[in-house]
Amino acid sequence: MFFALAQTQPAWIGDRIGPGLFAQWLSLGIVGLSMVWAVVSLVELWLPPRRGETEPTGGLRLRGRAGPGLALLTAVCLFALLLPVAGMIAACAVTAAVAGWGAGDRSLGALGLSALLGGAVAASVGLTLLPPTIRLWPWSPF
Amino acid sequence: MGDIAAWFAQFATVLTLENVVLCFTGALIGTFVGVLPGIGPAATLALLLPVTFTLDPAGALIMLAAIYYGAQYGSSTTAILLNLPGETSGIVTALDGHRLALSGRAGPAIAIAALSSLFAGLATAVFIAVAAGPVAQWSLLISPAGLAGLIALGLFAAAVIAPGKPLPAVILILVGACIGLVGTDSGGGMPRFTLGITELRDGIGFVPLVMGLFGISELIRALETGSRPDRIPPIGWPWPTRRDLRASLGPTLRGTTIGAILGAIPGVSTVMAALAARGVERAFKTSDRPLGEGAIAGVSAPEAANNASAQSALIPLLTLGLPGNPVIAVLAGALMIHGLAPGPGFIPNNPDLFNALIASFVIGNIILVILNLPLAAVWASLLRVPFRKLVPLIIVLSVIGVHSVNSSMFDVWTMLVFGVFGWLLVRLGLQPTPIVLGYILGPALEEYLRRTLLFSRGDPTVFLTDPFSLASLLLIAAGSGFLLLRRLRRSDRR
Repeated sequence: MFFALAQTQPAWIGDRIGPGLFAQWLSLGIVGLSMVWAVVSLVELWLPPRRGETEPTGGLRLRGRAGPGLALLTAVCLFALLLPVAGMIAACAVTAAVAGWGAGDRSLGALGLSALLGGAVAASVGLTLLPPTIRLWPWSPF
Repeated sequence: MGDIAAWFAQFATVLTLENVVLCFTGALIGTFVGVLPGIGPAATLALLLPVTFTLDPAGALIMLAAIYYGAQYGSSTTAILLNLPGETSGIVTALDGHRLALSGRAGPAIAIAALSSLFAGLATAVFIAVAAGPVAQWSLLISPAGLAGLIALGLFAAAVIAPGKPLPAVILILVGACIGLVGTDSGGGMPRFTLGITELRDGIGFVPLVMGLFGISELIRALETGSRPDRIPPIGWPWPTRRDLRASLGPTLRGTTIGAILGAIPGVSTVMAALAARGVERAFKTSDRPLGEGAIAGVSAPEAANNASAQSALIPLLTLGLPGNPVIAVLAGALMIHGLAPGPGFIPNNPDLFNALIASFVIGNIILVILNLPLAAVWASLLRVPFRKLVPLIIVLSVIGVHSVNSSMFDVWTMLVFGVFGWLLVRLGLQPTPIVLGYILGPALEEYLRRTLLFSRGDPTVFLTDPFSLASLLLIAAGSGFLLLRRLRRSDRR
């Protein structure tokens, strides 16, 4: 995408650098190196693994259930969807409950407590630190 | 000597109640973050960026820096007591520290860790005060071509030295640089990579980017991999014997030297400095137990090294504008949000801010020893709080923080997009750090390239005639060649 977009920008404007030159270099680098990486990965697939070599040396690779990740991302998504209609306090309460579920809380009581705490934090921050233009309640004018 | 005198004069100036309170708050939060596995200092700094908007630049920098080195202190407590470091650098301390705790010497181990960190923190503060000034003056003499070369070299070093495979890291740096270019082109005022979205004309915000990449994805990583201890061993009298202090003296000095030097190299993390310090200790005979079986040297050397490297990592940022690790990258972002561009000219133009920061290191390190030594048991007991109870609170604070920066829902969606991206990277076993480094340094690199080609009337051979640029390019070429050869040799062995 970056590569295609970069081609739409002029690389030079007269004898001066245009907005496209560096962008084109970068996107070309991404495309080129990604192809090299793909080739290297394909070659590695064909070669038998060395003894003792099981995982890449980089960060911890997560496997298995994706539930917590999806739940946390859904919580952020719900905040963005709910804030314009329900206000920040209700949006934060729902966000906290969904995040709590993603974190492993399954009892209604615990989720309710998370929602209550989330709403309380939003109310205290909203009333003390945020400008009055922030929609805190569903009936707020902004 | 003039620098030291100015620093001592500034020491009194920085002792304002507000700065001491901010330093204390940062140290407290840093210790909390260091103790609790799951949310590292980079994510915490990202979370707290909106809070610092109301502070003056010096106060914001003092608090954020205190969180960073505070996390190194806090991490050692849980590493020693529970073999469960809250921050990666504590992994090395845990090797001997936890052995000491199991043998009933948790108190002296924690005390040695705190005292070694204190010494390293104070010595590195003096080192930065002495070294950063001349480096900053020298950096003013570098041409735009040289600075472009140095930035490219810094990015390359960060990609190669950092954990993980170098090739994907370089690709992610380029992706980060492209993300940094989104918005209105500074040269001609034309929109770039904006897809016709009006909000993107101002570029992608730093806060939603780091909150998504570090905050959200780190939380997910913690939830999917986290574990908690059942029992916390007794700490006992937290004071080392004279024999312990003698055994720790040499390793602390060596660890401080190694940490201070390695920390100044972009790409070297605190855990790498700690590992190097422990590696060096293997060449020396320990006076108590062998290394790996509960030696005091195995605690003091890595602790001194990780604290020293955490602080000296600020040298390349403040003198050349090169953030070497994710936490320093977030600090760089915080400075930019406050209208200060780290890089050549930063220290000469902001001597008060620089001196205040150095003086805050001294105060912060003393506060941290006070916080960590007598309260070690209290910090360790924090681990009894289930992490799942903290997650909803952290998420709520994140979304409020991101939204409140510009009162923009677009920023929340941006955070979500980068949260998904960061999560995918984590699941692929990749680190999101290179993206942030590319985001910060990409536009700076473009600016220096633009200036260079403007001065040379479009002649690119200037990069081969400028000594700094040429040296940087040669080092990048040599590094790439070395990596390629190593890879080919590995393939041959198969």
